Amino acid sequence: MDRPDTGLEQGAPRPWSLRPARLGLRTVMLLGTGSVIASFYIGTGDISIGTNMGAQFGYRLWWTYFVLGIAGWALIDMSVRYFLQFGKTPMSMFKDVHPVFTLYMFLAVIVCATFGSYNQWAACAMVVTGYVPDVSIELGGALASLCALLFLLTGAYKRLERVFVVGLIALLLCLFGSALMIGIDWGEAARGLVPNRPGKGWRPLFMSNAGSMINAWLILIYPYTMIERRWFSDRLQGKVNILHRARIDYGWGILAAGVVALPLMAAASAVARPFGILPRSYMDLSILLEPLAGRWSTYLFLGGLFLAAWTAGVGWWLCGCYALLDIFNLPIKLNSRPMRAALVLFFIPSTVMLLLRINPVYQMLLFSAFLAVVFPVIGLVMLWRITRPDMGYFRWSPRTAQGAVIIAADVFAILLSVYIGWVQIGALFIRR
Amino acid sequence: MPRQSLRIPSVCALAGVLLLIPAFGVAALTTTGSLGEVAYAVYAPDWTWQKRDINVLVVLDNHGPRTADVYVGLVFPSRKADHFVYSGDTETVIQALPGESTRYAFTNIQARDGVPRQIYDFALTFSCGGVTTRVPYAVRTIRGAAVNSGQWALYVPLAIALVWSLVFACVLPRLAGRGAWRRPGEAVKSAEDREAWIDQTPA
Repeated sequence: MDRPDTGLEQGAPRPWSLRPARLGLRTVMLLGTGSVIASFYIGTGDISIGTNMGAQFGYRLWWTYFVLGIAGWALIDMSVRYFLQFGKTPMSMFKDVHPVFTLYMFLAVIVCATFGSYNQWAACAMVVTGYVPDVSIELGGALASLCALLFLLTGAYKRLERVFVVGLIALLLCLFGSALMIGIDWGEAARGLVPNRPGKGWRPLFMSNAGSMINAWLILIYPYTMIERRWFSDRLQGKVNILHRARIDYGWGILAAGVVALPLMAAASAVARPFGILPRSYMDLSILLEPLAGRWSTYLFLGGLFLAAWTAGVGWWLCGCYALLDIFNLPIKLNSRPMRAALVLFFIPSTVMLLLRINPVYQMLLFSAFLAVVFPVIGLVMLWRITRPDMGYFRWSPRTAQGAVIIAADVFAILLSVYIGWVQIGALFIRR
Repeated sequence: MPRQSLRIPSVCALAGVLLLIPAFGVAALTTTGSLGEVAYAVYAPDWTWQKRDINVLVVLDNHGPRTADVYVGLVFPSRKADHFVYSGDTETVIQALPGESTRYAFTNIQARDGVPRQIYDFALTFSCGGVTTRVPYAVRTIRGAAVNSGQWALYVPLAIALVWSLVFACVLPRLAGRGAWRRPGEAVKSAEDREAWIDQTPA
């Protein structure tokens, strides 16, 4: 009888039994890719949802970022394990199953990246118009997206990481600076970490946050950044080391989204909640900060918002282009001709859409719900792939504690995303 | 991989941009004044999209020894009140406690669409202890969303993106091999110049 293909040589180590090499502090502190991952999470979606949560429930829904973050982390981890085992890019998973999934991914990638980036440019435009009212929304957004396009067309991957590290630190400083001027209620914030149901209206926000945190196909981006960094090894020990390092990296990226939610909730809780205002305009919210915390609070808030939106817009394009290059088996490289062509193709519709002037706060809540609908298909395909026996050392195995935890995290992530997708399909397409 | 560092020029450039921000004023009404011992401040945006809400925030600081009853009224532009949707009260009396700061907001004042975009002359009136003052408040409307909010805000961009996917479908296959979209890609090869930590074996 043929031995089933387990992806393991005879006498190879048992799954999840190897220890990774210890990382020096300097290696851990190089958070480049983690900051790129963080930029996907910290955009207008995070800001819209965080401020709406703060305005309605104070800090009480802070826990959702961390619970959903575990699911997001597990999903990224699946794509990384697949990449390390086979050296194949994420879209190969879908091609393995059936070409129809490739078509699904092709459409999902284009729709999500166009939609997602347009929202970010619209948010940038609102900030620009806030400072200089004579600059129209269309012009402000087009300028922001043009800067992003030039940056990516002329950039190299390493430079992009550096810019994102600086951008992330700056936006954290801006948003925390703004919130600290108002005052953060640390006790309330700590209580918000305990899962609770604060009252009517929390569930739609939770669903939108799921769309933002689990983030559809964006969770597939990490292996592309690994290719750019040449993080791959043929040796099993090398793979184990890379997985360990990568987990810290995207763990930091996801954690940053939860951390950034705190000042947003603090700001909205202080200025909007007492009056029952639901933030539907960043400008309005930022102006309301001024009487409580002074003019600098408004400036810092707007600065943080601009940075978050711009880096997220760049992130959406980047992810979209990588995924499309992968679908067509083109080289995964930022400074390649197909990448440049795809970037220009994303620039055109996401800028033209600015003419629609749909409020990015409102639209992001809707779009996040849409993402939650798109995702379960991706999650189920990944689950099918990573549970196959040829996953070798990285396969599901409950024999070690690490293996059991991984199974639990994977199952949790998939069940959560399927549940959220099911609820959102009803909310978006059936009940309305 | 070479060590990444946050280069000083990029940090300086970022700091420069942040320092430039206050050179511009955020477009908003910020008016302060006093009614005897009660100081008032008004904060509100001075432009809005049609079909979007604005909120007007009033802050009262009572520096006197006694509680003061402050009348606050929101006056809509004459003959143009129907250009806005507002269901709240347009006037109120706020008890400003001695030594304390009190906030009140006129919320969710929505500018209608279907009327010419213009500058509207609102005003706020304050009255306390026989002293009355009027704060003019001009709001400019700009074009709002081209589609109604609700599901159309999702469907219209969705439709644009789906139509645009045809352009991607025409361009990208020309750069790729025939039938590449159906074939899984080649496995990545281990790089020669990879970082040292990758292949380290724990002691």
